[in-house]
Parts: sequence; structure tokens; C-alpha cells
Amino acid sequence: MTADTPTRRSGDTVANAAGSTDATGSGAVTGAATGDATAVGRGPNGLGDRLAVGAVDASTILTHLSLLAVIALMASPLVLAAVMSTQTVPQVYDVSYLWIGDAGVSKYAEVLTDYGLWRYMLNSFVMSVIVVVGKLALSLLAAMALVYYEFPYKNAVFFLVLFTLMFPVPVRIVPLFELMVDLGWSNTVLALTGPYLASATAVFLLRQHFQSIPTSVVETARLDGVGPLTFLVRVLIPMSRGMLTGLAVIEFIYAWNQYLWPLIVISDQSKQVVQVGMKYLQAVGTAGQTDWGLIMAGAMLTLLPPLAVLVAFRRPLLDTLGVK
Amino acid sequence: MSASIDTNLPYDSSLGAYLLLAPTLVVIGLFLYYPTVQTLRFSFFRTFLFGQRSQFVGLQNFTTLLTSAAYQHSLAVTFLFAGAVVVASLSIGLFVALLLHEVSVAESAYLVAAIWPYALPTAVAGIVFLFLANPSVGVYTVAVESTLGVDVDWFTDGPQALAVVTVAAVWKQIGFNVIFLLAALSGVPESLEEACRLDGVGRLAKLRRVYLPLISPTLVFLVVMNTIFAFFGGFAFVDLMTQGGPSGATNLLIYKLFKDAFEYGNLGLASAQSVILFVIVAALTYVQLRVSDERAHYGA
Amino acid sequence: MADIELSNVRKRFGDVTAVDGVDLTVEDGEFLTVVGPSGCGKSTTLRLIAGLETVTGGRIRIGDRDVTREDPSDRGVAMVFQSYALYPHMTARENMTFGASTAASESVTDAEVRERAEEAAALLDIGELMDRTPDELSGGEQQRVAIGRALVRDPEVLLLDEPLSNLDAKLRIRTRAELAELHDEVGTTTVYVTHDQTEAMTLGDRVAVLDGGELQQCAPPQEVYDRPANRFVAEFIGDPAMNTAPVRLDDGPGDYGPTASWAGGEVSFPSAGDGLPGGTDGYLLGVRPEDLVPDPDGSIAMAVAVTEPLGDTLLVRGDVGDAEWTAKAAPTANVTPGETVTLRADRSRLHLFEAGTGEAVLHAIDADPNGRSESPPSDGTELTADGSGRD
Repeated sequence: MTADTPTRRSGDTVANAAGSTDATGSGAVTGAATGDATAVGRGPNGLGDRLAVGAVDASTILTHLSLLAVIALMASPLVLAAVMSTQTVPQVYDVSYLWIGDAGVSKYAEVLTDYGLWRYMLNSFVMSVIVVVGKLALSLLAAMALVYYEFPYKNAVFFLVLFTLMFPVPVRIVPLFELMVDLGWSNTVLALTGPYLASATAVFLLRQHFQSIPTSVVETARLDGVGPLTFLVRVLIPMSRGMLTGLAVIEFIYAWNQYLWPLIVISDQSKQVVQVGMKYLQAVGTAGQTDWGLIMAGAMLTLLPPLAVLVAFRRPLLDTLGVK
Repeated sequence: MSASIDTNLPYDSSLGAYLLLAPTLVVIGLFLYYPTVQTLRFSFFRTFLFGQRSQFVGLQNFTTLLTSAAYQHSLAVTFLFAGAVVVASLSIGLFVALLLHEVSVAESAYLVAAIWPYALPTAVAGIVFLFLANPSVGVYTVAVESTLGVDVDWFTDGPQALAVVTVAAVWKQIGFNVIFLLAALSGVPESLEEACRLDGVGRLAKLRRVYLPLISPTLVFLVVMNTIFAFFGGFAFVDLMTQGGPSGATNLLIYKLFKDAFEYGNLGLASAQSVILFVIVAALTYVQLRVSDERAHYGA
Repeated sequence: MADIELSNVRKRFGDVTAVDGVDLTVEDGEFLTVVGPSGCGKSTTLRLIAGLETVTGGRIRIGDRDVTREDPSDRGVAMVFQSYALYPHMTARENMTFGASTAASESVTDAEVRERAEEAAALLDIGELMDRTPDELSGGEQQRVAIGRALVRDPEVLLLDEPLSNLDAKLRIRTRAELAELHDEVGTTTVYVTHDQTEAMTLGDRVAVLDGGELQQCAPPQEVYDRPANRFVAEFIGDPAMNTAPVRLDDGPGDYGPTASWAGGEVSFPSAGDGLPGGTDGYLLGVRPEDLVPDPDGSIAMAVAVTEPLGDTLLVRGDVGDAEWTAKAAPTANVTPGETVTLRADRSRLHLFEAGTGEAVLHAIDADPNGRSESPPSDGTELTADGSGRD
């Protein structure tokens, strides 16, 4: 009766949209008479339906071809980089040679061990996991307070959290760096992760998700006298699994890709993250020739973890971002 | 459980609520609000000896910056870069999203193939383009030189350097745009699509008259997000590929800020640049809120 | 189990008064249905009993405890929601045991809770569904789990908020009967909110009718139907609704009660319209559609607009005077739209209300000791014409 207005509102939107359909629907009869045969198919525009009525039309083929072309274009730098990562230095410098090279995967082994990429990757991994877990934990607690508790200055607190979106690292970089120095955190994982632990995005999305949980479910818990901790662990977290996974993917990719802040706050190379590690690799080479194959191998390895996470968890990620 | 139950929320202990909020509030207080306020304070001081000494100078840092030709140039380069990134990555993203929205076979394979750049780290995108477009060994360089007949040497040619950095940034940003545009497109009721088909509305008309108005709130959101990415996320490209050069052609505001603060130790001046960046972000966010408010009736 | 007492309970949301001074008692073990149009405050009343809303004024007692300011979980109530409110990530069994084993006010072991869940499952015939999650259950099955969950709590009071409205029509009727059976078996004091008067009438030991946040009447179903306390109850309960018309009241002849006349006709009440002032306006006549039959000797003229055959009856709608009336005729009745028919009202089933307040003044059923008399009064006093003569 009182709290389920968000769902109602979205229902209204649908209703409005349906209303406008009616307006355009008036010309439907004539349209159908002249329209192509595919419009008679049962599904929206499935290939099966089109096949069923005879042929795949030209526009469908065009769509697929365009899509394949764009995808190939988008993937080409990566494919080239992957191919080059197998080439020896002379092969790389032979610009016309665009095939798998003689180095095989040796550059990968070399960059991991001889150039310490495994150490940077480990550092990145530790940083990312701490940031993801910390962000989700802190945001879960904060969102729970914002949705299920009554307390003074609630809106002010929410605004305070949301407003931090306006302060990306560059806006506060000098004092933040000084603060790390004052705290004695330079070159530690604390400095790498601390500033990232609070998340306006995660609090916002979780708050929205909690509000979409039917009031009656919450009221059932209330009638049963379910305590806050039990409610969090047994009800909220299980009911937010998809959202939490999606957020974890977003935050993992975000944390893994950080460059500027680690560059500033970590000067001890052995504690550096892999993005900045890319920069260290730049100078690698012998006799004035850069070993680009090795650098590309490093780039591939650096891309691998976030890419794997994205591919593995694309469904919860897309759900979280609202792709149906 | 507690004294007052004048609420229909399950828990009404203020202490409990603030205990739950405490970690978040501590983090944002210490690492977000405090440094931001400090930035504002620092921007009114001139610092010597890497911050060892400082002197209040009022607005002098700002006047220095805004009257400096180097800063004006940096500002212009940044806006140019941001404009190009926003327009290119949004148009390509929209094109890809529309195609994806239309296909119904092998959807999930296409989807992965189209959104993967979302996972692409800026540093990786930067270093890959540093290599592929490298004036001496780059595959792309050879291709461009042989087809367009231009001499590619962006290590010395400013506009070329900015173009290469822009391409790398656009590449990285497409995945993000595709995801959000797909979300917006999937929010367009299928009945509208069907009504268009029955009415025989053409593709372009459908895009202009139906889809674009309905997803306009997302477009506005993406314009802002992409601009912010261009202003702040451009750092890694410049740092890895051009170091701001040649002769300042890719000296983005964020890179200049970094140099002034951590190479020249000019903390006051750097803080003033942070403040200016904040003002730009704030203005953009304000514009987004205003525009999306006006568009709210579209309801998509 | 316990009885419930609401004393002068009020609830305001901002400027809106949702519940306005309701006094209501539910006996121990009673099945009370609360019915009214949407926005009448029936759900709010239920939520006030549950403690999900807090009263603005008045007191609520459950058993011998004043629970007005108590937390919902301390009131010994269980509730079944319209949407069932099952936890989507828990199996039916987990749904049924989770609340009961965490309920702060109870001190039962997990084993006891599990046992009770199995008992409830047996009672509701959902034993083989216990390991399924809600998305693997049909609407009806989900609803049983929700009821089972409430039973496992072993509440003193069971509250149901429109529990059948998400079911399809057939299932709704079956579940309705099962709910009645269930109540006979467990005997828990039950408050059942619905907008559906059939549910309210068939299930309730008593029916409470709410409108505008005020209690209009609370009585056994037949009583509410036969002796509606006011015009609202009279028109709300019964389908099609009771016909009404503003009438003028005159003293009747001889032993008869007062005569009510209006543009559509004239009827006279049986004896004992005690103390009703004759020769006055300001009254409202009420006649239920089934108490009107087409009869050439009838005293009410109806210009028929529509006839609706329902199979077992023929609904005849049309204008009687200025009012739109409905009569339930035999399916064989020969009535066609456009014609004017004369109707005879069962005089022992007439109702009279005060026009201003809507309060019932007279129910003919009480006036005539012979009850439902079908015998028409002597003709002389009644108008047999088509009504045109009254213009």
C-alpha cells in the first residue's frame, strides 16, 4: 500500500508506452496489406520465422555482415598483438611478416619470470580482490542502513555518499598523496586499496535493488522478528546474488585497470601493479631494437584476468547494468 | 526491541544504522571529503621545495593558469580530445548496439565479441597502439602509409599524435557504450518495434523518430560519462604513448596536472588545476541532470 | 489463540485519514472478514493489527495484552500476503521454517519447527513440494506454502490480506472452500481482508464492512444482507446492488405501515412502521433486485433499457422514475428492451433509509412477524397503472 511505488511507476511507463503504440497502430491495417511476408511470422524477427516463410531477406544478411565487420575491426588490434607476441625481434621488425612467429609462447614465460610480470600481476590481483570484497561489504552495510533503518539525517547521509561521484582521484590527488605519506602508507597495499573502498555506485545500485524487493517479503521478516544480521545474511545477500556478482565484475575490472594512483603512490617497483608494469616493459630490448613481442605478451597477460571475468560473468554483469 | 515503532521499516535503531554506515563514512570522510577540501585550500597557496614551505597567494594560481599559454593550449587539446572521443565512441557504440539489438541468431556470441573492450585496461590499449601504430615497426603505420600515401610520424607530428591517442581511447571506450546503449534499447517496448513494422516505417526514420528519443536519457548519461573518461582516463595513454608531446600536442589537463604536481613539485598550482577539473566535472553533471530532467517524460 | 479488540483506532498518513475511529472485536477462534471498496482502510486496519503500521490514536488488544506499541514480532500474529511474499531463494520447507525458527519471541527448538512444518504440509497437501523453490511452484501452490508458513508460526492471530486475489477464478473458489475447512480444523482467530463480497460472505463468521476508514457494520453475513445498517452497506453487499430511490412517506391505510411513493411507483410497508412521521420527504427506499418480480398487478413501473440473460436468471435493467433499477426475473420472463413493465416488490423485504445520513430506519423483515411473505396486499391501496398517471 505504501512502499511499492517504484514498481508501480515502472508499470505506468509501460502503460504510457502502450498508449502511444495504440496511437501509431491506427495505420496498421494498411501497413500489413503492403508489408513484406516476414511480418506475418510469429516471433518478433527470429531467423527461424524468416526461414519458415521462405527466405532470409537481404537486410538480415546486411545486418550480420556489418556486425561481423565492426567486430573484426574492434578485435583486430588485439589479434595482431596476440600474433606479434609470438614473434622474435627480427620477425617483428619485418613489418610484412604477419603470422605466428618462432618465439611461440616463450615471450610469455620470459615476461612473467625475467621481467617480473607475475609479481605485478599478483600485486594487481591482491589489490583488486581487496577492493572488490571491501567495496561490496561496505556498500552492503551502508545500503542496508539506508533502506531498512530509520535514523536521523538519512537523506543527508545518502546525498553525502552519492556526492563523492564528483571527486575522482585527480580532483584530490595532491592532498591524497600527502595523506598517504603522513599515514606512512606509501608503497603499501593500504594506500593502493584504501581510497577505493567506498563506492557511491555500489551503494546506489544496492539501495535501488533492496528497494525493489517486495515490501511484503520485508514485512514477513519483520513479523518473524528476524534480526538485522540474520536478515542480511539469510535474506538480503541471497536475494542480491545477481546484483552482487555484477557489481563484483564491474569493480574488479575497475580496480584491475587503475593506473594513475598506483603510479603515484607506489615507488617500490616490486610492489607495483601490472598496469604500471606495462610502462616498465617499454624500454625492454637489445641493441636498440625494442622487443615488442615480449611487450605484447605482457599486454595479453594483463588483459587476460579482466577479460576472463567479463566473459565468465557477462550475464550477471549485463543484468546489473539493465540489459535484457 | 526499541522505544519507538513509528515507522514501517524493520529496524529503527539509529545507533545500528550508523554502525552499518560507519565504515563507508570513515572512508569517504578520510579519502574523499578531506582531500577534496584540502585541494581547495592548497589551491590558494604557492608551495616551494616540494611542499616544504607554502605561502598564501589567493587566486594567483588560477590567474597564472588561465593566462598561461601552455595551460590554454592544454585546455584546448583536452576539449578537442574529449569531443573526438565522445563523438566517435558514441557513434560506433550506437551503430554496434543497434545491429546487436536487431540480430536474433548467435546473440550471445555477438554480444561477447562486441562488449569485451569494456574489460580493456587503458594501459594495454595504449601500449598496443603504441606498437601497432609505431612509426617504424607498426603494422597500421605501414597500412596507412601505403593506402593513404601520408607519411606517418606521430612521434614528431602533433596532430597525428593526438589522432593516435584518440583512436586508442575510442577503442577502449566502445564496450562501455555498447553495454549501456543495449540496456537502453532493450527498454524500448517491443510493441513499438512491431508498430513500426506494421506501419512500414523505414530504418532511418525508426532510428530518428523512435529509438533516439526513447534512449535519449542514456545518450545524455553516456555523453557525460565519456567526457569524464576523456578528461581523467586519458592519462595512461599520454603517459605511455607520448608523454604529452610532441611539443604539447597531447598534453591533456590531467597529464599536465600530474607533471606539475609530481615532477615539478608545484603542489599549489597542481591543486588549482584539480579545482578547475572539478568545476568542469560538476558543470557537466549539472548539465546532465538538467537535460535528463527535461527528457524524463520519455520514460525510457 | 486469543481475541482481538480495537478501540477507537485511528491512522493518518499525512493529511489522509485511512482509519477513522474503528471499534471492533474479534472473538477467540472467530473468522472475521473485512470487506470494503479499495481505499476504505481495510488493509490498513489489518496492518495495524499486525503492527506493520502504528496507530495514530486508539488501542489494540490481543488476548490479555495491550499490543498498541509493541513490535510486530511480539504480537503473536502471522500474516499471509496477497503476493505470498515467499523468499525466492529458499525451498518451501525453508520458507516455512525460517521465520518460526528465528522468531525472537518464540522459544521452540528447530526440531519442533521442522515437525510443525511437516504437519502443516500434510494439512495443506503440499508434502511432495517441500523441496521446491517458489519459482518451481504454481500460484496456488505458492499460496499454500504461504499459509503453511503462517501456520508453522503457531500464531495467536492469523491475518490474511487478499490471499486469493492472485489466483484464477476456479482455483479461487476451491481454495476458498479449503480455507474455510482449514479454519474449522485449526480454529485460529482469523482476520481476512478482501474486496470480494462473495469471499467475505462465504468465509466470515462475521463480516465487517468498512468505508472511508469507518466501520459501517459488523455482523454475521446474513444479518449484513438482511439488515444493512445503512445505505452504503445495503448497496455494497449484494450483486447486483440494491435499488434505491428517494421517496415520500405517507401513513398507510388500516393495519398497513407507511406508504412510500415516488415518480417510479408506490409501495407500502407491512405494519409497524412505528413512529415514522407521515407526510414527509427525506427517505430512501431500498429494494433488492431479487425482491422485484414482473407482475401485471405490480405497483412499480420500469422503462426497460437492457436485459441480461445469466442463464438461471434474467437481469432486467431500466429506469424507475429518475433512478436506474435492476430486477432479477425468471429466465423465462417475457421482457423486451424498450417496453415498460410493471414490477411488484416483495413488501416483506423492503428497506427504508434516512436520505440525509443514510442510516437504516426500517427493515420490513423485522416489521412483519410472518417473515418473507409473498402474499400481495389488497390491491385497492396500490397503483396498478404504468406510472404515467403520476406526472
